[in-house]
Amino acid sequence: MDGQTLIMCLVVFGVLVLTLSAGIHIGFSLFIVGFCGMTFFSPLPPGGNLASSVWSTVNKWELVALPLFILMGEILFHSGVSEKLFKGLVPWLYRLPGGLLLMNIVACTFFAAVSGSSAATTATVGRITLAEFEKLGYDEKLAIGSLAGAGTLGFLIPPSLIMIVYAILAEVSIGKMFIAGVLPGFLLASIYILYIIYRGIRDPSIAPRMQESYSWRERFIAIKDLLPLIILICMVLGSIYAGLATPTEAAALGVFGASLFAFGNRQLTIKGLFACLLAAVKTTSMICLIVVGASYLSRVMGFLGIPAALTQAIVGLELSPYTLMLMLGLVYVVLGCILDGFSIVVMTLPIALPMATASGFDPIWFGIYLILMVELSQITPPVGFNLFVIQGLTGKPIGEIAIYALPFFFLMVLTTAIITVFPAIVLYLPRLMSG
Amino acid sequence: MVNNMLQIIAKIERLSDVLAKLSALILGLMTLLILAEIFLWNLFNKTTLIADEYSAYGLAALIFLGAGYTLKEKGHIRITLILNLLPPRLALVVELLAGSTATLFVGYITWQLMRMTLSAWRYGSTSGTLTGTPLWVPQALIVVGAAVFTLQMAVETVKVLPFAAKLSTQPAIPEEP
Repeated sequence: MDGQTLIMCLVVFGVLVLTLSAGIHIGFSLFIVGFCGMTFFSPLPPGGNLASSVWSTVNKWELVALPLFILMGEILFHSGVSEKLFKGLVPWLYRLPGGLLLMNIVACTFFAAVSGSSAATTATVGRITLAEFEKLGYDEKLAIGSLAGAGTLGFLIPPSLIMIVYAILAEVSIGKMFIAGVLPGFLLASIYILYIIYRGIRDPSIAPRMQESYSWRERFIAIKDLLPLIILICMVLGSIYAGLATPTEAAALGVFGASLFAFGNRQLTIKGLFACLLAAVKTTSMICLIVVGASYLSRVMGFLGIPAALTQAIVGLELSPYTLMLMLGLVYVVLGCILDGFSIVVMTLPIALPMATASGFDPIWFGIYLILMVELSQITPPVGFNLFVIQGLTGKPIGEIAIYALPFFFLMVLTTAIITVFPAIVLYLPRLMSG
Repeated sequence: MVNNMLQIIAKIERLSDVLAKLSALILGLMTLLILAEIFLWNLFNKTTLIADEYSAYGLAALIFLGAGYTLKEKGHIRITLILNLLPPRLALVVELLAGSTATLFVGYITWQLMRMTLSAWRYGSTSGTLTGTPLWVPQALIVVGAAVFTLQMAVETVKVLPFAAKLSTQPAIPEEP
């Protein structure tokens, strides 16, 4: 790397740190950094490509999937789905070691398959399970920790808002990204389940037995409570996998299905629906502001040749691919402590993705790796959105919740290691898809 | 003077609210448009021709029309970790500086977007699709959103000052989807 590039990197990084720590909203920090980069290091006027960059980022059919999946999640959140999930799953889970603690994992897995967000998954499942666990006298540490860990599945199991953002910035197919998350999602959920069963066998007192018991007949009847959700999952993910619908169309169908379900449960009114729309607008605007700033910055950085120079420098070190991922992982864990998931993805992607592909990683695989890093960031203090959600539900301090979540942090790291050694877990399903 | 200021703030915030409601409406219409397209295509083999294109315009519009409201409701993410560590007086100065910078910058973006829209209008640029929609129409919606966003950003900056304590305050932790 020559002197000029080094100075460029330092200035860009310096301005980024300065604006972020001054509390400027993240989207604008990225804009300002891009603007400074153009002003200082390019002969072209900085504003020239700004408006066209903004317009081409927001006027995008693929990105329409984002507000629609957010809306679907909002509607489901107000649909009484948590109660249905709980009622449908209790007869199946109550006798296993670890008992209803498994509910956190299984219910989160189910809900993650219709929701694109980790915080929403945590909130939806947690608001019913945590109260029940307290009533039943379950081990609080494991109850809270497993919720924090399993809630992060919202980002890994499709549909996923972060995957949409990643796919758009990395220019890979949203549908393939979604399908790539399925097996790693199940892997992570299975590892959580095994861990809880292990804890349950070692010390049955963490999950005292329930008084009730259920027959097989009752178990199968209970499925009818899960059925609407299962149909919704098949409709949304199935149509994408089969190539019948684009993610945007599948999302619109999902909104339709979720509305039917919510109105059918008599949980939603027209007024409530409007509140869901308004909430979806808010979240969309928040995410897209960051995406717009990131796209502009990414364009500027590409123009200045920063990613290429850094990639070259890293390739020059001749690290093994595993070492590179390990180092990136350490950086992500540190970043994850202070930044939210979307910011992590959009800020690091222009630099990290070229490095990963230069070391032979598939962009879809790297996307899933990045999502796992984002999941880690959800449960690391002081800034971790799942921690905030659980704090809202329980009133416990962030630090305490983070300690309870620590075993699940390590299980996520383990999952990341497994998919790094066996990338086929990520890439097998998307390769089967047509197109 | 202070009262005038508070009144102006209240007016701008109401404007942000109105645009957010408009965005909510747009999102609802986008959803219906895409659903209509899916049903027409699968049942009657017909197409609306506009579903893809217009829902993308809708998205562009709602992002900016909803931005001011999102800012007001503390929906946009920022890092307050370091601000919280600073002594209160210094934090106030930093927040004012940061807020002013952000306001100037949103203003600059708005101006750039307006130039783009004006030139689309002047040269009669169209979408290049079957509908031949003039691009300045959806772009003008973005400019309106960005302009109100600028005003709201100015309001948020002014709100840092002690006199604004009379206004309602919201929690500092942003909500995440």
